[in-house]
Amino acid sequence: MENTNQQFAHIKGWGIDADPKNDPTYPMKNRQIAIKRGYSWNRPEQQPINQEILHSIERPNVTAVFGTSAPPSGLSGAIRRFAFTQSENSYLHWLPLILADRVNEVEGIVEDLKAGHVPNIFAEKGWKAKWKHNPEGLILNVALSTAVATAFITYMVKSKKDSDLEYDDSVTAKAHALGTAAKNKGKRYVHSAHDHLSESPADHVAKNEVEALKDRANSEISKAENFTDKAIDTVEPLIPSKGWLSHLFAAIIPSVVK
Amino acid sequence: MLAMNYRGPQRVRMDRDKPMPEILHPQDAIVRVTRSCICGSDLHLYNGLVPDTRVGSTFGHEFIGVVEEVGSDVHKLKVGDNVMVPFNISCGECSFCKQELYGNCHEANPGATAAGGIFGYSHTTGGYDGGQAEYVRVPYANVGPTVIPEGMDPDDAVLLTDVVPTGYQAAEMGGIQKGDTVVVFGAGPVGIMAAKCAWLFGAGRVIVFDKEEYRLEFVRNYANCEAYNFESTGDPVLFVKKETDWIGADVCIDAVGAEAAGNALQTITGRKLMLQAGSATAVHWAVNAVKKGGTVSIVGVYGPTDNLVPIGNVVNKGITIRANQASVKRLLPRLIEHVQNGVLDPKGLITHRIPMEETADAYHIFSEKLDNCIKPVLIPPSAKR
Ligand SMILES: NC(=O)c1ccc[n+]([C@@H]2O[C@H](COP(=O)([O-])OP(=O)(O)OC[C@H]3O[C@@H](n4cnc5c(N)ncnc54)[C@H](O)[C@@H]3O)[C@@H](O)[C@H]2O)c1
Ligand SMILES: [Zn+2]
Ligand SMILES: [Zn+2]
Repeated sequence: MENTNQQFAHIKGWGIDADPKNDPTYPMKNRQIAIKRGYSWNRPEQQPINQEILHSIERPNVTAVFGTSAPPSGLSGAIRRFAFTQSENSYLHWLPLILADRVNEVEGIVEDLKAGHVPNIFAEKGWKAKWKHNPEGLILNVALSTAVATAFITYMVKSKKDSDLEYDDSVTAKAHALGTAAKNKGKRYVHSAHDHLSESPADHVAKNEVEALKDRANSEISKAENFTDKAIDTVEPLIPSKGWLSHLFAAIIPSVVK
Repeated sequence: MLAMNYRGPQRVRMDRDKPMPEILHPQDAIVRVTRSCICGSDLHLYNGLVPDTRVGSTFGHEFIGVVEEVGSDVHKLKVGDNVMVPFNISCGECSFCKQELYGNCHEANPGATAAGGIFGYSHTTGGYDGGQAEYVRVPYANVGPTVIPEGMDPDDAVLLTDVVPTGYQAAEMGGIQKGDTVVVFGAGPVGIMAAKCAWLFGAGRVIVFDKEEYRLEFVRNYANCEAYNFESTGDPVLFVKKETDWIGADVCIDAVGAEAAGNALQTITGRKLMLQAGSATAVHWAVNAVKKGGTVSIVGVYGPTDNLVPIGNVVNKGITIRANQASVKRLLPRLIEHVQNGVLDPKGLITHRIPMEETADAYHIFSEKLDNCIKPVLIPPSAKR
């Protein structure tokens, strides 16, 4: 080795734990400790199980000791119970747990309010420290939240009375797009009727055809309008819970993608 | 008692009326906490990246304290002992503990066979209440807790429960040979300690990457190494190739984990949409920056689902990956020696001493890397004397 202890004399302890045998590229296993195979050791005494403990189905039992914090409860608890019917190898184990954590967060707020405690979100987020060490960041945060809240309220109010329906939300946008497509289809019928009319104005057969096309066009248009209205009606009540929807999607999409 | 209470992502508070822990098993001890840290691992919980993190639980896995009460079967500790408590909960009996894999005990975590038991670290590692509180229930008190040697500074002791062994094991798992070039991703407490320990195994060159200038500055001084800001070097992998005569590093260490920055795709899919178990940018860089036949050592923590990792390159380059939760108990004797001999100076990492009542602020400061924070220590009111 070109490196000598001399060269690193300024680093206290240089090389004192060097071990040429510890070269994982050519793996070696320490087989000095005789290990019995399988789940065969003398288990420590079992901690009494006096509360609901969810255990992985990849093991036959609850471990000899376990933590007792926050036993499963409420809706999040029900979701967790379901999750623990699946193995650790399954997305149906972990994704519901992530969902349960988000539900649990809301349960936490409800529980606080019920106990007469209004959570001080600013304090919980440590914004006192932020104010001290990063005031610009705090101001930006507050400004952003205010802007988002204002935009949201404006949008809600606007969407209630505005028939133009300029939704930017992905779900409403999709509904709106479907409605518009149907409307356009109707318009195309009208156009082709008009074309027929201008091509052969004197032709009886053509005139009948035009009438038929016009009828179909009108019915398509009214169908399209109904569809749009219905779509908007279905989607609108969901808007306030957009955050939840996106969490749900975030939880579901990976299992679909994979 | 005073205890941290998790309410949801980025929302924690201190409650004054959490019931005192009790002895629930003959090998339990109750420890009154005198120092407790916030760890980079806590940030994964804090940001909601670990599944089954239940509202109402108390975090904290790096703590020391005084034994207040022991169960009927505890014979290694007695009331009044000053102890450091390794972050892993381990039985000492199972085949994994027998092999000194104390971070992989099979009798401490009902929630997942893929993880051992850890204090204050969600139900995915056992559902234990942790050390960011005045008192903690410590199971298997004959196995993990170690009496703090006479004369050792409590600030050194508290870092021996996690940061020091983790940084040391990161270097150890790299199988560093004399003269090796070691690249460490992350200049948090763990990465800094890994860089420092790389020298003990005979590294010839140690290079650290991070994006926080103050941390780069710190690690340069603390660990006598080179340190670069990946936001200004451009592609860190290319940078390493150029710096190693176009071959790559002998050993790369991931000391970042799921909160990694530096790659928009990883950040969006891993941290924002949670389509993967956190952002795997550091592993990605480590695999691509190591030489063929080299070793990647991972101590950065990720969630239990999946991550985007270039596994094809692992195969084509013949890379060995080694990873684990640090086996604190296995390493403690050697590391205590290193601290006593002045080879390692853990307390030098502590930049903030914060009253436990202000834990929410401490989380914010550490998480946002404010006020040049490297490592915050929480001091419970009962320990002020
Ligand atoms: N395996 C174990 O036993 C064990 C024990 C303790 C901590 N950990 C893990 O080690 C990791 C580091 O812990 P810490 O306390 O030092 O945390 P930390 O959050 O203080 O440090 C992480 C550092 O990585 C930097 N970083 C972000 N993206 C990066 C990138 N792409 N490349 C390089 N650096 C990047 C951040 O700026 C930060 O300084 C965490 O994932 C933690 O969970 C593991
Ligand atoms: Zn830790
Ligand atoms: Zn064990």
